[in-house]
Amino acid sequence: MQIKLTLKLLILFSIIPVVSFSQGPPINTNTAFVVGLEGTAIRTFGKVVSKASLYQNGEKITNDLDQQVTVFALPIMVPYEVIPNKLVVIGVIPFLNKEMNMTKEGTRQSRGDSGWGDLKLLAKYQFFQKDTRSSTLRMTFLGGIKLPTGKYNASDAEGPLPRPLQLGSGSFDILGGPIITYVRNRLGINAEVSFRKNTEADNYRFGDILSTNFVLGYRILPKVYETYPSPYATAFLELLSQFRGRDRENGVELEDTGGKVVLLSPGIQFVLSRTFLVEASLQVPIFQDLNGTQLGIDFSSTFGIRWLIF
Amino acid sequence: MKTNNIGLRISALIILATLFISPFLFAGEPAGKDDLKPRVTVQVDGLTCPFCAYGLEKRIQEIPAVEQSIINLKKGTAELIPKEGQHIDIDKVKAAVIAGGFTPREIQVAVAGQFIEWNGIPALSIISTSREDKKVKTIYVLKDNSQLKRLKASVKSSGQKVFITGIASEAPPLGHTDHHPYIVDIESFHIL
Repeated sequence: MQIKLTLKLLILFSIIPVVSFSQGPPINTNTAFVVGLEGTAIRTFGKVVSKASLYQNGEKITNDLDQQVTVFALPIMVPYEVIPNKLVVIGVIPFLNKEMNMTKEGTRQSRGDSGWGDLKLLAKYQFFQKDTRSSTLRMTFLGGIKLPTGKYNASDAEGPLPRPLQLGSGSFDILGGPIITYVRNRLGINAEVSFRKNTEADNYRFGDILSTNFVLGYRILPKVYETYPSPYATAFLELLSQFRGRDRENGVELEDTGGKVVLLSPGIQFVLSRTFLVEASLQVPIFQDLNGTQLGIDFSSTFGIRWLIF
Repeated sequence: MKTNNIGLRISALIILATLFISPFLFAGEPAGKDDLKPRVTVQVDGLTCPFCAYGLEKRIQEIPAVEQSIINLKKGTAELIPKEGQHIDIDKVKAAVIAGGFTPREIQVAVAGQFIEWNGIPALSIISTSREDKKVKTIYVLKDNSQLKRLKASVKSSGQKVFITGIASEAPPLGHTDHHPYIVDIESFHIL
């Protein structure tokens, strides 16, 4: 019974890739720009997601087994500019460490795996651009495919790891959606909608995911940016929403999967030179409506760099 | 009292006359060294985010004749300094700005050349050296304005070397070819 509950709880893992792979000058959201650091800079960041609060039908309940799920993700993103200021292709592969801890019969137990996850091949195409002397409005479509390169049949002494604990999903999935960016002087606004259609692999299908992100960015230093390149700092406030359908196993919908999560994410970014920046953000849930009984996100945090080497 | 009024009027007249005459006095005068530095300054629309400016800088630096570039986000401009003896092609500047992700607008050129008659119209002929060490001739048609009239009056003969600063705009293509000269609306000039 306990193991069955644990398996159900772990299914929430599948929400993590959506958070982990977001990218762009706003820290967790994509930007419509396909130039500059967005066109050629290798990017990586460390992301920690911690889940220790148990929810049942949207209400927080006692976590008797003291279950805790921690995911560390280190995606590496390599963009390549195919058509200048129009089309960029991006390869993304994460290094993952997934771990679940729980106390059973007075003993703390741990299950999990670490290694390379699923490879994503994305294309970003800018279809609208309107520039004025002090502003720019750009629209881009970002879409691609996720390939089953990560291991999805790992097991330990207790048997095969639950699918959400596996490094890969085993499936070919497609994702895409529009991004709008508006920048005027020190203020930047980004909005992104993304839909991910998951397919079945090995009798398991993760629920489809709709993500909507909205970001405000404001250059806090310097007040007046004169000659390029000069160091500068930007503060971000991101609103990250995810709506996830239920998973299916052997054609049966799993009750304790899917739901709605809204995260508020303050962050800061320092651009230190023309080719290097560091950034950090914290994501805290402001709304969680999870189906059935699941572990919810307590917090997640990101610390990363972007390094332009081409 | 009356004397004071006359004095005031004379002073006012002198100040007004000075203000009126001074642009004419100084326009054709020898300029400082920096004023005679060849350059192309392009107004870049959309240049609002420093993290995007890298692409622009990279594209500009790929233009063979460019020695140095200065990108000013506050002004929204990119200033290009040519290599010694070379001339920066305006078409290449425009292409670089577009490829860099932005929209080129007004382009100001500051360049030395010979004042000539070209197909019966006043023009500036610039002889420069290409990357392959070949001589290249560029023609700028000069727009009819008050500065051109003054320039015409100032030059002693066709072929006189002058330094002009002005806004360059594309002229219609010549004949059935894609080749088009640029028309320069002279803002100031110096006889060399």
